[in-house]
Amino acid sequence: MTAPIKQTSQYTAVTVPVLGANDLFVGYGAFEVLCGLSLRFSSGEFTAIIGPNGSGKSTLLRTLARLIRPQRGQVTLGGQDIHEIAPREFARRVAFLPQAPEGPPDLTVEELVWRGRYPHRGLFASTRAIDRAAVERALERTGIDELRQRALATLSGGERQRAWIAMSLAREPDLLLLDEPTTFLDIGHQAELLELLGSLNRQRGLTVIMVLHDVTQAAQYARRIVTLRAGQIMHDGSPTDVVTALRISALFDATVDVILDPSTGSPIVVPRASTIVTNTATGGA
Amino acid sequence: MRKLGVGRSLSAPSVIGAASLLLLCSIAFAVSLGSARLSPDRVFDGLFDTGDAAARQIVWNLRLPRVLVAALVGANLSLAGVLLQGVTRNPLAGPHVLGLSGGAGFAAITVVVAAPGTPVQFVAPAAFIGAIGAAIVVYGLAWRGGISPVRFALAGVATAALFIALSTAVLASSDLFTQSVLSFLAGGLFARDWDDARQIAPYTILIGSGAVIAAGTLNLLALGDDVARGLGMRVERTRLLLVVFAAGLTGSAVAVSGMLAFVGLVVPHAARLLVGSDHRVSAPLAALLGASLMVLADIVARLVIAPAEIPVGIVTAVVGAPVFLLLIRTRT
Repeated sequence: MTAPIKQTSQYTAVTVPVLGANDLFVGYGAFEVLCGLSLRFSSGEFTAIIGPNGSGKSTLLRTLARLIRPQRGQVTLGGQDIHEIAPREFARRVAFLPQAPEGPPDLTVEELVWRGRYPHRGLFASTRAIDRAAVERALERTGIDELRQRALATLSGGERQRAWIAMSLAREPDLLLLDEPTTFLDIGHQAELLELLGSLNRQRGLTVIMVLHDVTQAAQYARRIVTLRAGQIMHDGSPTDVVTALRISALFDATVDVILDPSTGSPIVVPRASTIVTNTATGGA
Repeated sequence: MRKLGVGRSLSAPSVIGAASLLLLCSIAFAVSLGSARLSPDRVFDGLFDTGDAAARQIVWNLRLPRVLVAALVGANLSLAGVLLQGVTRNPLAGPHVLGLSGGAGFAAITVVVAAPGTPVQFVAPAAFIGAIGAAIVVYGLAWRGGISPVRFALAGVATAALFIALSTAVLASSDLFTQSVLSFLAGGLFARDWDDARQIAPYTILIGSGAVIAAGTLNLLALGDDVARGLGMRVERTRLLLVVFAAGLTGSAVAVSGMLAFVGLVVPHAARLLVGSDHRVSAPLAALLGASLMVLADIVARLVIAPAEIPVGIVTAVVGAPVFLLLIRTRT
């Protein structure tokens, strides 16, 4: 029943961007967070959205995930306004993982991943082979097969985050949206998680859009970087185009140097605490 | 942490089966016990043989309806507790704590005091409306572009206090007997009869089964609003429906038993402790456990100072308060 729908969305993705934001205005009351923002994502992309605190990154992601209704403009999925798509139908194609999700501490990994099948099963469907297979694939692809019987509270931060990603993948979405997925993880687990997302993107064609705090990490793993400031897009391009000393310094009102990773060539941001340069920088702001 | 998973080795059907058996035994026990001592065969006659007029009167007309009312009240309040704790994601929530009992009680008391001749079947709908009114007040106070569980719980505490004070004021200004006033404020089942059983039963059957069927939605709400929405659930609409269910269950219980505390707070915890966090299992289990608890508590209420009796709400508070304190000390 769901297979033809997936086919259609993948087929139309060839001609229309999978996810598009057109002239988006989003605000809370009188306070405008996004002001006339337009953006397109194509199938198979791996995008990181970066920007200073309060720039509207999370708001943008939540609007793309159908959690916030824009005051003006629209978000489209395969050409269709996402608020005209039924919630569960949308959820089958787009998965959203909030920052630091919390579940019942005694919930097991397997139970959590099963709940990720809701967009396909609803509440009352019996357990079909197709659901079981999807749950198994999600557990396997996130490498937490052997943790399936463990309660969430007994997992490490990295394991728990992978369990939530498995929950998000259980619906077998076309797009995965993540809000700062590496928060609260140590650097080892951060790298592991981004590596996992990268392999899902490369091997499974999963379109990934994530908000990231760490610019160097974004440059290292994403193939496209969108920078946001005061609710508007500043730059949009490949990591080497966007992550330059000049652009990142201006974006964050900070003073940074950018050097290139000798082994991969990807840009590395090095913050500099130079009072003299800070003065000129803040003078400009 | 395995402590949290104590009940995971117990399978859902076996726990539900055991709880059903417990309820049947509690009912049989309650029907057999009372100030008039009847032998088991006369209890049997009273239930199934109309020949023994005295036994028939005691068992069929006096004890059985009261025992059934106790069971239905316990089931309703416990289910309401499961719904409210799930909806607010707050283990301290319950029909009493969130003000639903207070709203129901205030409405029921106002109807009874203002229009003394009101037929009994109008009291439950009035209490239902009162509970919904309280829920609307709590919802309204907590609403700020969405409901935060913490604001919901805090608004509930304040609303509960207000409605209980108003109820007390109405009762104090009425000429009702102290016994019935006490029984209503603390929660009691004194002289409940078939009329009362008929009054609450439709709510338990209709809304109770609706609540058990809808309990699966609580599993998604437990993952947080964003995740539940991301899974395609209509979160606000679902939450509203579940709160209305909780109001119906609470209102009908309050109409026949007054403002019982602790049952709806403690029983959901006990159910979760036994079977874990799948609400599709813990909701029906809570209903069965709550029913058994109320039936057993009412035996104590009837017998502890027999031939007089104490309001059953005192028994549930004496049992419930320490159990609750124990739960919050061991679980957090």
